[in-house]
Amino acid sequence: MSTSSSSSKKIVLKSADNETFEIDEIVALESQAIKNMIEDECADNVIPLGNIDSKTLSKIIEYCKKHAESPKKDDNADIDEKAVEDLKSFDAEFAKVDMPLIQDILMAANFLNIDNLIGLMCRTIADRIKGKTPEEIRKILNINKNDLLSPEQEAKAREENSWAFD
Amino acid sequence: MSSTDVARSTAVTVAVRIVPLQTAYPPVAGVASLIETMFNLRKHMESSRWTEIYEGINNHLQKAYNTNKASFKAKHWKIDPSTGTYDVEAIRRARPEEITAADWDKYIQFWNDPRNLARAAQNRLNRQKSLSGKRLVVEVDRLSSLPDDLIYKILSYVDTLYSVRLSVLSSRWRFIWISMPYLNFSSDEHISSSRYHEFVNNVLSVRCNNKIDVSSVSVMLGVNVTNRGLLLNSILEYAFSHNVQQLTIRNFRVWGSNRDLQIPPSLLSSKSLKHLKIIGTTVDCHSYWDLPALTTLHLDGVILYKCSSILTMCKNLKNLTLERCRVFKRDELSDAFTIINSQLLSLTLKKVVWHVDFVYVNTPQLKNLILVDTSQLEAVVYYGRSISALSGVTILTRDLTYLHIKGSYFPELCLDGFCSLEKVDLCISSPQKTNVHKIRYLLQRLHSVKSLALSEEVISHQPSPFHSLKSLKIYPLQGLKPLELQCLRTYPLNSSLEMFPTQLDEEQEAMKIKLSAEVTKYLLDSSSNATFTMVSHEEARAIKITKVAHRLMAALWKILEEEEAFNKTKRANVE
Repeated sequence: MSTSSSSSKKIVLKSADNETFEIDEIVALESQAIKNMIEDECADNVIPLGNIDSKTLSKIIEYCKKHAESPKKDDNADIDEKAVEDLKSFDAEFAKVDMPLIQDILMAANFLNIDNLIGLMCRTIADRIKGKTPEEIRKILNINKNDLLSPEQEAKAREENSWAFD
Repeated sequence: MSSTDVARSTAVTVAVRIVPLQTAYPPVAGVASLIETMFNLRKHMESSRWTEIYEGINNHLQKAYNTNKASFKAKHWKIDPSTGTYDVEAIRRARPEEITAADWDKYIQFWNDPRNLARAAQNRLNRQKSLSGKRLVVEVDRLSSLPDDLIYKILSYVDTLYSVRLSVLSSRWRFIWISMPYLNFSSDEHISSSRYHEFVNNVLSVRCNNKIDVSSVSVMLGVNVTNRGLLLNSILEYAFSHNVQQLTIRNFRVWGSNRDLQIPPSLLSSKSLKHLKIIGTTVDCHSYWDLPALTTLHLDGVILYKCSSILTMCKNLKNLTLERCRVFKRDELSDAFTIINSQLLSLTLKKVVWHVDFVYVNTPQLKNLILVDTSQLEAVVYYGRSISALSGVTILTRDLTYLHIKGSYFPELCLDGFCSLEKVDLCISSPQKTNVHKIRYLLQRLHSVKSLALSEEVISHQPSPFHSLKSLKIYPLQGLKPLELQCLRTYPLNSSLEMFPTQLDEEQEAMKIKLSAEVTKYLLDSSSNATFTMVSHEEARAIKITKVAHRLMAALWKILEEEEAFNKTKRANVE
């Protein structure tokens, strides 16, 4: 299934830094946005993705390839348990990257409308901030310094929601 | 070859070494134009301005070198998320051929220096500023620039407690929790039942003032929660008045207490609710649920009294799952549990314990039917009442496409024609005499089946009824006992791993499936194109062990994380 036959249709994606990626159409269809473009026949040979850099894009293609190869979970039958487990461990491995890349992937997945990937990235971010203090979370998420609350504002927020802080 | 050497060496060697520099690194605009002029260096060396020129070249090379360093870094250098520093071993392995190990180590040293890291971050920031008109993506704090929907989605995976705590993070996060469409209330996050009550009431009262709909609400009531009914009441009231679509109630029973959490049917009244999952409560229905929009109902570990009417009343129900439920009689007069629903597409009955005489299912639209471990209770005495044994399960349906039956019980299936059955999985262990004719009856009607999986005991000798079979799988009987995860908490790890003793060779030999040529012929005679797979014991075991191992690992991770968090707080307290 993974061997791409020469007859299958190819799609070329171009990243913001002008790198091109040729992939099978079936892989590109994992993205709802590209799927719509193809269906509306407004996709030329090359689809430019001006807001996704090549590092992020290659990571996303890696994900789409794996998920396109795996049997789809349709509602009418139980699917191969081995395949499900395999996909799960792939996802777990895939998410083991640094926070900036996760955020890039999340934004790109949101733009390309790849539902599973959005979910995976959101869950990964959630897992990393779970149980952390606000100070730790600011560091993990690299919260914009200009956006921080003033000490008075922060005290007020704490006061208002004191029932949520121990 | 090192670029620093290049920069330091004399002008003549510079000209020679420029070429490999170009092939080793992605060409940088500007350097290329410089090289042209540099090939005639000798002329310039005689000029009076040579010192100036030499300095210019050096500067330029230094700049090119720095630029290339960055591009190298972006390509090969990954920060290990667990430590926040570079994964030096991985970088060492990623050394490009054209760079010597010694030089590569120098790079590593350079980039592991926190001062250089800080400088690079500043550079990146400056670059971003100068590019901000061109690129929408702001490298710093991308998360805060995400649309609300994505932030909500991230927070849907954490308890609402943490969403509220994030209000001090920054102005972007200040009021996110008030408009969050997903609420998770888990008592496990709170030190006491009263704190939990206080928290839930505060969240609800602040949010009550806004009209924003909530799309999903999940409640988890741990063992030490008191006044569950009251709490659930206020959560449900809020959820339903804010058009909730998905509701999950997970209740941990306190064994030994004689009053189980009951969900009064009158409480469940919503025009918007689509998905409902209830775990571990009692549902006693003397009146009706008013859930006209409900499409998915999943009851797990629920004790059901007189619930036939509910299932009939949910007119738009498409998927129904009863798992580990105990089902009691509808009333004293009727002995049957009935599921009569004209819309139902999917029905799963898994490990249900039936305290009724018979089960009657009438679902003309049903596509998928899954029956796992239907227990045939002998007459028992339960809470002082004698309960007669289940005498039969009757299922009436017309359009079934998928049938999965596992366990020792085979129901009475009344399917009109069987024309549409495409996939059939039968794992019937030790089929009893009464079952055999039912199975035979089923097999003879599988005219259009495309995929068939049978346990070895099901196969009987008959003329092959399959005409369009594409794949056939034969499963061995499972010899493994399911592993309870609780073991992990009470036993040391090695005892959990010993749950899979290796079998003796002769035993394995005995367990090998012997499928006679006749049987193969019977199954495949009419479909010459079908692929035939025998799943060996080893494979079946491997699949099962992998699954158990995954669960074990997940549980272990959780324990580890808990331990870590516990140690952290302990340390923090000490400090």
